[in-house]
Amino acid sequence: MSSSCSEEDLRTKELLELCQDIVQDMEEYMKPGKAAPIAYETHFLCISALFRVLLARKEYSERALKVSLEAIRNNPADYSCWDFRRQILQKMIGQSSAMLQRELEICDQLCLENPKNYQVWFHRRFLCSYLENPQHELEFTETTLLEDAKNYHAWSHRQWVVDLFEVLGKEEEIFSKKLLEMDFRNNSAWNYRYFILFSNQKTAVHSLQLRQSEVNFAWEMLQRSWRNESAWHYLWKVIDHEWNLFPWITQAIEELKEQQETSHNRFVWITWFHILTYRGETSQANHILDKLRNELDTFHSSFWSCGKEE
Amino acid sequence: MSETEWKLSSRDLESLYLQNEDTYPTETYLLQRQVERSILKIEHDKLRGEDRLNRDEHREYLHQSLQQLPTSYQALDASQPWLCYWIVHALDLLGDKPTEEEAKGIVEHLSSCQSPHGGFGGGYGQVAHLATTYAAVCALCIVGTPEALQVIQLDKLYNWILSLKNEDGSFRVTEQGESDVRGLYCALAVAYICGLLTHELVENCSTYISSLQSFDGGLGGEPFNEGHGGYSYCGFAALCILNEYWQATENQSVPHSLDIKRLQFWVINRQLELEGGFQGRVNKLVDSCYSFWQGGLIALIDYWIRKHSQSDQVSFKFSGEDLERYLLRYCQCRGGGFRDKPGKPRDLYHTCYALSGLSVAHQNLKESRSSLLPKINYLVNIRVERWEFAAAYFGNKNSLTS
Repeated sequence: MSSSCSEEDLRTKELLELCQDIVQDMEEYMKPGKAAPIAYETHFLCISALFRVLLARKEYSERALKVSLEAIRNNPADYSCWDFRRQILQKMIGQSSAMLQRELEICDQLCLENPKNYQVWFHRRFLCSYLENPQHELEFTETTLLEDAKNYHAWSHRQWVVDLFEVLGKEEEIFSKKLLEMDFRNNSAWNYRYFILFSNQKTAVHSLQLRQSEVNFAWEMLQRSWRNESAWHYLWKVIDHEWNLFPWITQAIEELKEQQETSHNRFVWITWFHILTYRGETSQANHILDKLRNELDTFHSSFWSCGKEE
Repeated sequence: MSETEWKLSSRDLESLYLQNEDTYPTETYLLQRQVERSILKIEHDKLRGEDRLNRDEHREYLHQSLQQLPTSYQALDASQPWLCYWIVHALDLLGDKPTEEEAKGIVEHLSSCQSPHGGFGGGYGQVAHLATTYAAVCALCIVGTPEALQVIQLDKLYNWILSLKNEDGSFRVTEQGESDVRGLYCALAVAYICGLLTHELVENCSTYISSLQSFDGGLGGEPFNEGHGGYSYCGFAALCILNEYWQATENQSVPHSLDIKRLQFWVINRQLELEGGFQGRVNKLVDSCYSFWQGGLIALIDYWIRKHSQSDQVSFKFSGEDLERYLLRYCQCRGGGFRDKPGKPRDLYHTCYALSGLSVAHQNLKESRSSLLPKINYLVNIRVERWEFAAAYFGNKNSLTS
């Protein structure tokens, strides 16, 4: 198959024609690296070199936008291109907001194609801060999260949007619940829930009532699986060592210790250890440490050996 | 014990598999079970490879990579100093080094990545970036010749790093780029190696790091993000670097509000008993690169706790034997190189961090033995000897100019 008729090659040819006046400067950027040289495809190497020429010339033009976009299509991790586009956009923003909208559409597509790329998500933040479009961003991150429910960039972006545009906490609480209903082991969704309800200055309401209902929620989820570390972390964090405020948890843990299904569950015993430590029952707590080290959590015995209370 | 006598840690993986059975399957659970089964399958395979480190094959893979990389590496065109670092560090851990000609090529290539305004970019003509600067500086220290170290333009480097600093103590990775703990770590690590740490540079950094602890105890990339192995390493290693600076200049520990015990509890639980390797986040899958991010973090926490406690604390370890089993038995590829997990192809990133992790694993064995990998300076992930040589070189240089 001839490669000269591929779409990339056609686009590359057009761009080279558009920049005829500077193509003679490309050679400098096309020499193979002196260490670990990459076997580039021709169209990749040409566009990359052409972009570096424009970058060195600081040419903030319409054609520079086109070349940088092609370079980004070839390699979305080329952060110099993204930087350059932001500089051009900043200079042109006064002229038209349609341009930003168009950039967002490009960004949407590239984000869906490269959901784990740093640059494309940061570029979104840049655009959003001008477009002020929280609703679109919530919908967009939802789309990406339904594809990959643990996408770190997507969650981080959603947190940024919620914080900047003061999105209502109630809707987001429902969103986190929806994701947890899909997979209650999804630690990212638990983290988001904690952020919305307890950490974010703009959505968090600190009340004992909320803590009570969240302890209930975590407990409900734990009943689906006592081995789900995420739900335990959430429970511990919401209780935050104030075991006296949640006396029924102490009771429930005492029961779990006795039940066959959970009597060997290390998380149950770790929780029990925390309760005893809180109560100041040091020798009993140390006894549990020994039990964890020698019997229930031997894989982490080294950790339990150095955790003894004086 | 000699190398031929020892056997990899053997566990009753069948019964661990049965123990891991759980109620109420979800996507997380099903994916996890797939990986567990892929491990059991390797165990059952009569043709399973040997359990020793195939040094020669890895060396050949790395030298070959220095000569030519396939088109699939186009995606890393903006990470060329990383490619150099992954290769030379992996070689260094294997007790090998680039040939004279290769070393010359590396130095010239990295030199071409240096920006006229300070710092190193992903390739010639690319904007300087903190991550590629970290990679370039480490690679040059590993090559270790005066010609290599001379490449780094220290004055410009310092001014450029300082220009990327934000008020909250974080750093942008480029002039126009994103801010997160990677940026902060790379900035401090480079300044630490080159002897460029100043009060101005470190101000507010520990406050930013303290804001990264997640609900689960790990550190995220930005405040309120989920605990993550890579970011936890960056954040805590940066805190340790700050501590070195505070000890040297103020004769006291760096102030911070991280709950280190919780971080420690989080990180030891990231090692998975059946697989032997580490996962990056709670309820995610094992990946060989976390052998270093999490293993190195454990080593740093152990160092921190022992330094800060009066009494002689017992050294805190993870299971080096099990990590070694994961790396050698399940991630080593025929023809050299390491992979993320069974079923994935090898690559240079995983090769570098699997070997770095193996070096950490060797420091966490219950019984010592011969032919271990050399020790790493966990703060920056280059061999201790390379660090010492570079620190002396830059220390000398800075004292001459100041």
